[in-house]
Amino acid sequence: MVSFSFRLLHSELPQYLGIPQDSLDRLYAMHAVIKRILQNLQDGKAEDGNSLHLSADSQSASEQLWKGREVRVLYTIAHSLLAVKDYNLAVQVYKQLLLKDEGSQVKLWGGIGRLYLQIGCETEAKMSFDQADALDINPTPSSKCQRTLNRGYLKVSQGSFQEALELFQDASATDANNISAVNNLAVCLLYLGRLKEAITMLEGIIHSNPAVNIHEGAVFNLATLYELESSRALNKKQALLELVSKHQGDGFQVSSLKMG
Amino acid sequence: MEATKDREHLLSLKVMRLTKPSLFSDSKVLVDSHDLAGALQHTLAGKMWAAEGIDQFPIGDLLTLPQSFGNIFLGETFTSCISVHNESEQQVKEVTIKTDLQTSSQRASLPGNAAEVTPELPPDASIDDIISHEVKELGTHILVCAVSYTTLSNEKLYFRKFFKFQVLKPIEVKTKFYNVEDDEIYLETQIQNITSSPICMEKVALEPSSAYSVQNLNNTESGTTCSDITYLSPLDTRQFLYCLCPQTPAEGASDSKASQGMTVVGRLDIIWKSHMGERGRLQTSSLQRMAPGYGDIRLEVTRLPDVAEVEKTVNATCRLTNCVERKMELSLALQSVHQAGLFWCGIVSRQLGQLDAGCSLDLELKLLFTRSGLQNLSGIRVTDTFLKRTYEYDDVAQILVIQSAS
Repeated sequence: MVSFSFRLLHSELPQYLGIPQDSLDRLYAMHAVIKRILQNLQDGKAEDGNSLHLSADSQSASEQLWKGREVRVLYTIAHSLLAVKDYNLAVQVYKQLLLKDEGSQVKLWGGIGRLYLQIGCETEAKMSFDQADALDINPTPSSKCQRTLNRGYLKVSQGSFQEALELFQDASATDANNISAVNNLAVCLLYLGRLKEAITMLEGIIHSNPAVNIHEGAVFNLATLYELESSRALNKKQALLELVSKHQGDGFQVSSLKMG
Repeated sequence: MEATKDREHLLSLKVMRLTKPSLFSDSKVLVDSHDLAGALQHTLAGKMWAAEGIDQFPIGDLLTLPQSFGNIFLGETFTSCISVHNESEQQVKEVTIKTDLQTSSQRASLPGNAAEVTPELPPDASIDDIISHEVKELGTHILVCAVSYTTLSNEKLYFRKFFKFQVLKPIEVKTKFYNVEDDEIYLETQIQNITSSPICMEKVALEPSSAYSVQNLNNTESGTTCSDITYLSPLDTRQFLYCLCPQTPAEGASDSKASQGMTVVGRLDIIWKSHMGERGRLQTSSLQRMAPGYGDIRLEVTRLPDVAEVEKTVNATCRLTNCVERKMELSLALQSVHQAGLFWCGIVSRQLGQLDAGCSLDLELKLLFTRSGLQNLSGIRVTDTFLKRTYEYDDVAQILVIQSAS
């Protein structure tokens, strides 16, 4: 008896080893099995197709479980499709997930928009962000911050870095815990030619709460800025490395410091 | 793009190409919350694994700076950050930075946004500037950065750094003209993506010359002809179709004269976007088309039904135009093509009379087909009795012949 999570892990692993096509084959096989199970449950049979009569409670519990598993498999499938660069199919899978994982619709539309930005389709990205805005009926600070960030990415794509800067400032004011907003602010500052301010901003967020705010992306950006700023970059990176080692565990990718 | 530090100088110059930033993608493993032992679940949540599917979304939320120079393609804009830093302990005066982009044919000066001359630069301070330039040539480009400054001891110093890069071709454009009987031209263009990442065609338009008007045939009511596929993967090709109608000529010159020889049709304006909105724009050189030669006598099929039934007569109208300077005396002979099942009806051989230079005459013809399928109109023979020359016209038009509905 192999547990479901183990099967999913087994299907997911090939894409990290450079053979994403195998991942897709295994994942779609799992998906087919789950669909058969759900069909059996809906027809009033047991999961494996026996005409065993299940009580209404256990039937609905079983359906819940398998629907949740179907959603997890679909997310993993979409991830593998991105690994093989089939963006159209990945978007179709995410659109299926809009119906099956209704709680995440706002985040899904945001994600689809970012996917479109990555391949250069600005019009479709804007439409997706509009959908995300329309569906966020009870905004929390974090969802509002996320949607402002999305608008900021659209401005970055259009080349309007000053407007993007203002949007990222809004975002970080809305949700003070979101370090992406501050990082993105620093990136915009660089693109506007304000290198020193960019460095100060990133150093500020990393030193203020190192246990939480040390993120590989932010550290990578800071290392890049140090290299651009001066020739004493190595010393500064070493100081950063000490800070990282004090607060982060083994999982942190040290290569993001670019120390060669 | 890093410059090695020049030990003798007090200032250092660094240049970094600013392609658009990317969205950070980290791979998180999706876990079920009841698979993790209690304390472990909370300590590393969100860092290495995600409990909810949506948190596993691979395209994350952090903008990351470009890590290498990357590729630059014709039509894109080269943007770069230039940083001049005072490495020394002493103050430096009158710093001037000048950037030029040199290609094999020309030298372009790239002014930045910073002031021309910075009067003073204290220790550890820097001058940062953004320069950008739309790349319009292929091949090797050299970015030349020259810095001149004065030290406290009034010594004027100067150094230059060179950065070389190649500009590559982003798209391959092929065009093909199709001529239709009634003077319309169809232009098919195929655009192939020869970069290594997907691009999105934002606008492909044919700007016609004054002699033509253009109709864009790439949009249907529900979007473009390529409906769901919005982007072009590397080595993919997409086709676009345009219909060009010649505008009526202003002077009273004969129509046949205007459409002879090489005519300039227009040019294609192509705008695309790649990763995170990196924009590129190209205009092709003027597209030219050689008008098809009609020879001495031009035969046009002016009226023919699209569909006909087997063994039912079809009426066709043809126009013969005299394209040369002399008068002609013409006779018509119609030859049935037995193998193809085409049979001419009525009088198949007659005199047409004289035709002056530049004039045309219309012929009413009747024919029938005994075979179904896409059939060609053939077998028209026109003889100029003055010169005793026969002109043959085969496959001048197509008609679909179907079995009669019985």
